[in-house]
Amino acid sequence: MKILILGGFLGSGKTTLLLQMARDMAEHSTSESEHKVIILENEVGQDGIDDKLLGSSGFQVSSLFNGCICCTLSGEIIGAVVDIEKKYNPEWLIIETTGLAYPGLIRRNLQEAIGKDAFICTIVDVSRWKRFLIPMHELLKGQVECADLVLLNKADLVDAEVMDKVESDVHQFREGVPCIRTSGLAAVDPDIWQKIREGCA
Amino acid sequence: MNTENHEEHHHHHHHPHGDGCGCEVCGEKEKLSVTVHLQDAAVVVSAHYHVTADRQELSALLTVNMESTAAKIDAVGGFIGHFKASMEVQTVEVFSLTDREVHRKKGNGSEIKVTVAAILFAIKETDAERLIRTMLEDIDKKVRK
Repeated sequence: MKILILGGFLGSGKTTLLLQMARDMAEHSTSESEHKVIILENEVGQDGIDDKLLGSSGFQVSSLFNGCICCTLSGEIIGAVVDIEKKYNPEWLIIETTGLAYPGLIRRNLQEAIGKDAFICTIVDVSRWKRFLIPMHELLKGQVECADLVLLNKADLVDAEVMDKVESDVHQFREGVPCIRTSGLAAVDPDIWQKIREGCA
Repeated sequence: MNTENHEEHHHHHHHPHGDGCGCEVCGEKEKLSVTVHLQDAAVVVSAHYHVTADRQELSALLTVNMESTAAKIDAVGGFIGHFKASMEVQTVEVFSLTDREVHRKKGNGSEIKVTVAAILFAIKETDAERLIRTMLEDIDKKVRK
């Protein structure tokens, strides 16, 4: 079972991109398992919103609410991952984190607890990056510095100068991390999903 | 962890309610509930609202009221991490046959559950709770007109 952790700040477009990504993974899966892709949703609130959207889009979704899986629910995430592999044996498990999570802590927890590695894809909202960079500096840094790939999302909302500045800031946090510009409003270039599939292999 | 208050009861009872209370009233769906907690610096608001209404009308009201609430959050100096809502719509159609022909009946409205999730910053918990609660109460008043 390959694990992808999809992180990024609140409202960055994780779920919008996840819908496309999960569809692509399911289409390209060679697994004989009935459920090729399982999504694990985490929300700090009592209830989920995005899990309902994902479920009604035809995906199998597991949920962990009322806490963050990088800290307060760090025990529960391990149990959930083990259960999912045992019950469904999917080719892919995509963990969509809450926008307040540090994906690196989740990966480290999976490695230490059950010896499983994970690929981290962090979504950055380029249109709100500057606004949140100072007040949420530690969180944004923490979400980028562990990333294997960064998607600079909402590219349609900013000009080239702003985009270049955001990319430069991202490289300050994580030198050399591959950055790809996306807009979730349109169909994302399938080569991007291929890069992610290959990165997780 | 769950600080949900039992509010909006439709009947009076004379025994204490609490988690796990199995009385008829506590088992009844709460029409509107709003809870707030802190996660680090973030104010996390969770809300539910149940109503029987026209789906399109409620959708339009939710859109307009979320936007005006966002402006009010901004006006008190807060900022939005995310502010989402979902509508789960249940419609009922009954098929009955006593002889040879099926008769169909459909309910006039839909039973709708609205779930709200907001993560806000730089705002008091009490203000966040009040703004989301007022939003849902205003929607309820308009739906019932």
